[in-house]
Amino acid sequence: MMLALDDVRSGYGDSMVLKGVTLSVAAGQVTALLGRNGMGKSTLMRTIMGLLPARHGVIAFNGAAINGLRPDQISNRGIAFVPQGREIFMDFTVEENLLLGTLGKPTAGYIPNLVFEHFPILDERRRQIAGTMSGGQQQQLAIGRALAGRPKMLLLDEPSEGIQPSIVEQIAATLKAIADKEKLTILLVEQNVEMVLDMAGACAFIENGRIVATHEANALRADERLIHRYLGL
Amino acid sequence: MDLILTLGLDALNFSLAIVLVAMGLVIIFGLMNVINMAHGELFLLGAFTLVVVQQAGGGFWLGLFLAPVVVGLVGLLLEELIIRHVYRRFLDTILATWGISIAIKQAVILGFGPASYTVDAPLQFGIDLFGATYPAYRLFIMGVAVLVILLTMFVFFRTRFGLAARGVIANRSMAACLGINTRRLDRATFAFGAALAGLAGAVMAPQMSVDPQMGLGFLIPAFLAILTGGGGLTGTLLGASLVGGIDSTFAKLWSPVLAQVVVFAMAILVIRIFPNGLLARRGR
Repeated sequence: MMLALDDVRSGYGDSMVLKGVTLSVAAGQVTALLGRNGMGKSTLMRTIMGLLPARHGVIAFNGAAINGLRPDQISNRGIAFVPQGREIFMDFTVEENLLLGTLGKPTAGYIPNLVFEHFPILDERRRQIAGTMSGGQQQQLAIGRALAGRPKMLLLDEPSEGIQPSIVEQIAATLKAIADKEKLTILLVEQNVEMVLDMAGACAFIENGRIVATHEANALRADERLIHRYLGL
Repeated sequence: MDLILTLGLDALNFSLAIVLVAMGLVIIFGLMNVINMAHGELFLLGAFTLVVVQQAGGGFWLGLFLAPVVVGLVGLLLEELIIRHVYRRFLDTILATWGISIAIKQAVILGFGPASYTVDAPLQFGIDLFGATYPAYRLFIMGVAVLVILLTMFVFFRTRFGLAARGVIANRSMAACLGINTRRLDRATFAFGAALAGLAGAVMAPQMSVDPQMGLGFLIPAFLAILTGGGGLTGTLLGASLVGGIDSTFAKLWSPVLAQVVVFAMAILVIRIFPNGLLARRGR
């Protein structure tokens, strides 16, 4: 297991959003986390990343506990985060955004070629101010920025949010290619079921701060009622 | 003609001195969201570093070199011992740095007494500029200020440290998620801002009476410059030239008291019309 969570609890103030999450993410696989709004998907991502403290339980990455570390330490262990809303540095150029993804890493100051191989548009737009690009291009930049640090694992929070359907398909295809080619482990939070079935190997369902079921994506493709049961579609 | 030239040079001189003080404040506020009320006392420590070096028989130039080093180290210590514990509580940072300012001032009074010192100035000659004679040391101050401005711009816009710092200013938690050690950056930034204040104190010392109250005289115009300019490097440059220009012109032609009144009236007017300063940045 690349990432293993055991009975992780976390939340904001007095209210616990995660009430004991136990989840395994296999190396080299895309694992999707599905659930309705407010079930704790983003909270889980933020807790893994160290932005929120885990109040209980263990988060292990490659066998070593990472809960309690700062976000920059977790990032430098090899986990990259593409947050909901992308959080691009709007006033910076594309190149500066990508460079920021490398600064804490041994290859600081060098953007690896794989970023431009998968997202050629970022190469063409190096000098453009990031805030002037379209939503889809900004999402590619957010993913490219994460890849620039050569991570072992990618946390993707709602990559299809606010992007036109045709671009979503393209981004999904690119992400799949990246996962295959770079042997990247991905934990994907996504509302777009088509994108999930297209990319994921395994799907975990979260409800009220707990993982209630885990299925192979193949099983879900064969029987769509399973998805509907958990998502209430 | 001579008068206009001298007025202009005096205005430029004072403006650049304000920039020297304000720059450290702006950098610390931009990165850490800390309003450093002790900045004037770091300026004071820079001047007294020079006093101590001269009393010990060292020359002016050694003192000028040591002042930013010593005050930078003081900044490092303050950040580690006090500031980092109150980062996330904005009002507490004002209270804490205000407390530090009182403590430093009293420590200087205990060590050196409340009286004022004078510092031997180097470069005691005039230089002919377009027919007027202007003190060489004042030109030297301007040169130092311009150098510091250029150096700061270079650091912030041309180096990895600067890129990381701008990233943290724009979005601290995202910068951390990308692997940037924000702790180390905060420490370095506070020390850098403190060192700038120390350098300003030492370089200005030969021009003024060096006493425990001297910090305030530069802190207030520096704050006014930041407020009217709207923060940021360019805003601070604009604000400082406004405050410095008005103050030195009115002080020379009429009186220093009137100059203060006009500067404050200008600041109130600017803030009334542009609440976020003349060059306010969107979405701070």
